[in-house]
Amino acid sequence: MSAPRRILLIEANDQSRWIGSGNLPQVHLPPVGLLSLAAYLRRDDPSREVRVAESSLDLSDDAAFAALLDSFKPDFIGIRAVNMFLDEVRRLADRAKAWGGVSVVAGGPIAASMKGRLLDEVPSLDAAVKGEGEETLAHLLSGAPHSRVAGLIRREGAKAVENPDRPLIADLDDLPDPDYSLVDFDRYAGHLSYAYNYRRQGVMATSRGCPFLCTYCFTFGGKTVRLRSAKRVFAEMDALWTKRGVRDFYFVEDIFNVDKRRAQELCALILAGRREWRLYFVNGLRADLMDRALVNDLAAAGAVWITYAVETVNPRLQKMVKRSMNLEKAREMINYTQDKGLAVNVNTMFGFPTETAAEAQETLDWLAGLRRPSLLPYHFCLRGYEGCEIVDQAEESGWDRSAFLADNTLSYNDYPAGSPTFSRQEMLEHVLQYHERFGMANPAHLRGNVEILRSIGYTEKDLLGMYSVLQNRRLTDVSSIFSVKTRA
Amino acid sequence: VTDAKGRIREFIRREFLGGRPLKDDEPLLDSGAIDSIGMVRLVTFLETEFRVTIKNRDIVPEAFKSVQALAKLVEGKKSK
Repeated sequence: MSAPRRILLIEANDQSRWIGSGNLPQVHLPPVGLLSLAAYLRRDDPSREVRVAESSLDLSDDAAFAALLDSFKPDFIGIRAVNMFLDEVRRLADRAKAWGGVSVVAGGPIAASMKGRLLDEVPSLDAAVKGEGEETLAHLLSGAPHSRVAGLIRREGAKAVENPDRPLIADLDDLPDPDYSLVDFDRYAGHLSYAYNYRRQGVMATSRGCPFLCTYCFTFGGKTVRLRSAKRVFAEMDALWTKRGVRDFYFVEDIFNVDKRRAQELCALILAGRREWRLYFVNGLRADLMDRALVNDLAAAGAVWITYAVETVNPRLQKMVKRSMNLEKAREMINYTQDKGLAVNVNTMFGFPTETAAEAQETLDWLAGLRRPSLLPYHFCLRGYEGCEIVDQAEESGWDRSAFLADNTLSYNDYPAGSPTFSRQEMLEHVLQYHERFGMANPAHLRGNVEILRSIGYTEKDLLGMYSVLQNRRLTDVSSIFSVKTRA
Repeated sequence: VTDAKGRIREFIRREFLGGRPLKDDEPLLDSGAIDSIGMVRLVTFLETEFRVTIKNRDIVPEAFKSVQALAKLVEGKKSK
C-alpha cells in the first residue's frame, strides 16, 4: 500500500456498556495509549498528521463520525479497544469502510486476545496489530507489504494469517511522551476520572508488563516488566503540571509497586520538587509487595488513593490460578494504608473454575477482618479471555468453552452466569451479601466512605457523580447516597 | 400476565417503595427507587419466583421500565 499521511486513531468504547447508563455522569480518561502512539508516529515521520478521538465522547453516533471523516479525510484509521467493545469496533470499522478509501486496522488488548478471530468477526477490518503498536504501526504506515510487517494479523484471501511476533520495546525511555496537544483537558475535566472525580487528569502509564503468572489475567504488555525511569515519569508529570495545570495523576499500569526502588525514587523527586500533587493508584497494587516505608513515601508524595488486588483468599484456588499471595502481609499493609487516611480499595473476585459458594464465602469473611471495607465495591465476577490459561482450566472443570468465552464481552459488573460448581442463584446471593456487608447496601459503610473522600478533597459534585454511577441512579444531594433499600 | 403483574408489583412496593401504591405503567427507573443493588434483588426475585433465567442482554431499560414491561418479559420467557 502507499504510505498513509492522515492518521485517525480511535479509542473504541461505549459508556452504556461500560459503566452506568447513558443518562448518568460518565467516566472518560484521556486515551493515553493512543496519545503515546501518536507521538511515536509523528516522531517517526513528521509529515504525518495524526488525530485522536474517543468514540463514546466524540463519535457516539454515526453522524458525528461521518462529520469527522468528511472534515479530516483520513487515509488510515487505527481502532484500539478492549474485548468488551467488540460491537463498537465493528460499528466504527463498518462506517469507515462505507465512507471509503481508508485502511482500517484494529489494535490493543482485543487484537492481542482474539487474534485472527477478530478479523473473522469484523470483516471490514483490513488487519490487526497483536502487540505493542508503536513499531508495528510505523512499519505498516511506511507502505510495507502486510506480509512483511512483524506483529500484524492480515488477510490472505478468506483466511486470517498471523505474522511472527515483534520483539517488545526494551527501553520505554526511548519512547516520546504522549502528545497531549491532541486532547482537550478542560473537556475531560467535565467528566468523571478513573477515581470518579472531576479533575484535569494526568493518566500515567509508567510501565508495561507483569512478572506474575495469574492464569486469569490478560497481560497485554507481556511477562517481562519494563519500566520508565523515575526521572522520565517525573518530567512528564511536571510538564503536565506546568503546561496544562494538571495536579491529579492516575496511575493505570498493571502493578506500579513491582519495583520498590523506582517507586521510592519517584516519591523523592516529587517531594524534592515540593509539588502538591494528588496521586491515585487506580489499578491493583500487590499488597504483599508493599511495606510501611513505601506506604509512608507514597503518602508523603501525595498519594490519596491506593488499590490493592487480592482476588481470592482460598488457598486451593490461589494455587490453581497461580496467585500465591502472603495474605497476612496483605492484610497488614491494607490496614496500615487505611490507618494513614488514604482511600483504599480492595479488589476481589469470584467465579473461578471449580470454586464453590463456600470457597467464595471465605473471601468475604476475610474482608470482614480488615480495618475498613474496600472504598469501591469492586467484587468482580471472573471473565475469561482467549489466550489466558484460565480458559483451559474452565473447560477442564466442565465449563462449556464457548459459553465461558462468550461472557468476555460483558463488563465485570454484569450479572454472573453461574458455573458448574457455583450456581447463578448462589452467585447472585453472594453479590447481595457482599454489598450488604461491605458495599452499596450498607449505609454505615457509605457514610464512612464519604467522610474519607471528603478528607482527600472530594467535592459535593464529585460525590454525587461518583455515587450516581455506582448506584446507577441520578443523585441530587449527598444524603441520598445513604438512602439505600436494604432487605428485611 | 395479570398474575405476574400482581406478584411483581407487590414485591417492588414492599421492597423498594415502603408499601406505597404503584401503577403498572409507572416508571421504575427514573425515580431512583431501584438502584444497582435493587436491580440484583429484582432479578433474583424474578428468577426464583417465576423459574426463568434473565440474561444480561434482557437487562435493558425498556424491559425494566415498569411492572407491565417486567411482566411481559417474564411471560415471554415462560412461554418459550
